[in-house]
Amino acid sequence: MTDGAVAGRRRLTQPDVLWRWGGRAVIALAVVLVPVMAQPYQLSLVTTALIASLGAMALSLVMGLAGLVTAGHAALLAVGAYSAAFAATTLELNFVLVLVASALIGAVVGLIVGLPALRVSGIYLAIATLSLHFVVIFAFNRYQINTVGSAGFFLPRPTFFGIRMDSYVKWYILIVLVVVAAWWIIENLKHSRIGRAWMLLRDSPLAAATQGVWPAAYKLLAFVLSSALVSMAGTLLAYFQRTVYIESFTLELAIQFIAMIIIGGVGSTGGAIAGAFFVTLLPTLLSQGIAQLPSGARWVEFLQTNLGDIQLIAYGALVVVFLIWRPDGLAGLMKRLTQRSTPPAVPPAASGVDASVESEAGQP
Amino acid sequence: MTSLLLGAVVLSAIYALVGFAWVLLNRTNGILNLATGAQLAMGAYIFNQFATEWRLPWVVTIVGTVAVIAVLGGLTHLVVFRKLAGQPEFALVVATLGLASVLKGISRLSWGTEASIMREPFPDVLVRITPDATTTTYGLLGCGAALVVFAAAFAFFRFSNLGVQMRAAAENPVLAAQGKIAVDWVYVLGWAMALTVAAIAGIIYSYSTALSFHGVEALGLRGIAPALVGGITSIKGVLPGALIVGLAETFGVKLFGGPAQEVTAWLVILVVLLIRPQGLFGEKQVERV
Repeated sequence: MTDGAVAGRRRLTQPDVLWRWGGRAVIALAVVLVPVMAQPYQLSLVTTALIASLGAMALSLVMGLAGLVTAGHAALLAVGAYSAAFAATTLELNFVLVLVASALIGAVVGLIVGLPALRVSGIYLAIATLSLHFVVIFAFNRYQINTVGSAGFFLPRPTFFGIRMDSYVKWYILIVLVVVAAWWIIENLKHSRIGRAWMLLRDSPLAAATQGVWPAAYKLLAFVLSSALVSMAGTLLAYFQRTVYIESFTLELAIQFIAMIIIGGVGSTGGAIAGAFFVTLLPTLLSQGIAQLPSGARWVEFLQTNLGDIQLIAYGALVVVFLIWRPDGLAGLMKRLTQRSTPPAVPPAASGVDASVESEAGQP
Repeated sequence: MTSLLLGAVVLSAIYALVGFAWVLLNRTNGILNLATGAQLAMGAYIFNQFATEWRLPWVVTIVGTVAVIAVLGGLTHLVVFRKLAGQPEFALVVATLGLASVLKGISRLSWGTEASIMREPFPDVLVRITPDATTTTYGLLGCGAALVVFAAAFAFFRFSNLGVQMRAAAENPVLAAQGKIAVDWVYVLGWAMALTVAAIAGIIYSYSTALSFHGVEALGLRGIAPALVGGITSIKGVLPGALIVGLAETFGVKLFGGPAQEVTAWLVILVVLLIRPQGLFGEKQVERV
């Protein structure tokens, strides 16, 4: 751990303070301005990206803090979405109740999958979550075929504490609040005893064990918490889009979430959000960029018709390139740019994964 | 009943080949390769390019496919995984996921997504083994390929100098390098061997069903089940592992219908993780973290 983490709080130089508050002010301004400036379609895109941010933050918790790989994100989103579909169409439950229930269901699923896998070693979680993906998708596919058919479920417009969620602006405000709450919880968790135990466990399991950190239990806790958050994000997504169908939950979606946090910076909550926006908005940006190209040329047509496959290649290549070239992602890049004024507390680590988390560890 | 068992054995042979690819990479290169599914499909499509699209003679097709796949395997190590040396284990797994996405995109761009039939070197006919049990020529080909691959692997790792070097490099790369073993080339060889065996499995599977990216990729991913059941680092464990998964899948389909095929292997994995996570022949991990 760095000096900052040990001292609890790093002494900040004036430019540092300026950067931090300046950055926060810019973000706050952007958050307020978006619903005013954006067209409904753009606002719905931003809201989708914010919901994806919840999933990315959860993944960042598991991969960045506890050092585990999970390929089960699409499955857990599906758990949340299909819980919502079942609760809304069959049980006709209240939206808020469904949100809480889906978080609990996600936690239970995480416990069932994580418990046996984490008895052995971290890498087995990757295998277990891969199994989870195929089993869950299979089960929900059967459920969907047997109930409503291949078109999927349609959800009613929900009511949130008496407020009818009938406009994009209302959704935007709700999701922003949820993201801020999740951010606040995760950041505080990071600097609590539990968060420090996770980081120690990731960096040196042996040292963690001597400090009374029970590896399996702490890893399981990280996975269960993140599963709950992802499942909740799935429920929000289902209510926001008002449709749930099985084709949207693919293994590629799980890989997209991994791309989000590798690009954003493993272990950095802000990086996870940045990565989620990048990956969610990339298809739209790409197709708009292609629309600007001279039409009629053969290669432009090729790009237009094969956008989906080009995205697959882009996400995969970005993951590999970032892992090799900049393992601390965009968050690390930002850090390096903004902190040139102060000498870094640690030399640029060989495993840059640590750098992003450690240098943040000092912040309150 | 005999017919069912025979079917299970034929299926197990394919699973044994796929499982071999998983275990080999995990053992020699220390990588849990989640791109195996995409690579299996890639191998089958490259073969199809030679055999069906270009209609080349079979010798050229086979030599060409193996050469292209070996080069791809080598590049995978030199371009990607060599650069990731020293990074935590999870970074390697994530890189294989990224690789899977890239390969899937490239494959779909080049060859589309629709299922197709490959040109056959000999017709796929029913072969009667016992009075009431039949299989197909390509089923037998799969069994033969599995036998040859496992016999060759056994001899290679046991007796050949290179095989012993590969084991040494897997055991301790630093010491192996000091003992004048070209570790990088050992890893390249590991990738080339794993991808070739994976391609064999993908090709034979495509002959007995049809060539489609989705189908072959799914088979390649399910192939982690025999590897895990046998113990993820044990080559000899793959055979009983494949037999268990093959039997489970055959009877699963018999009892619950066709869709059970997609999910049985994954359920076997979850059950194995619950009962005996290190698999049949896996070493009990000392570091229980």
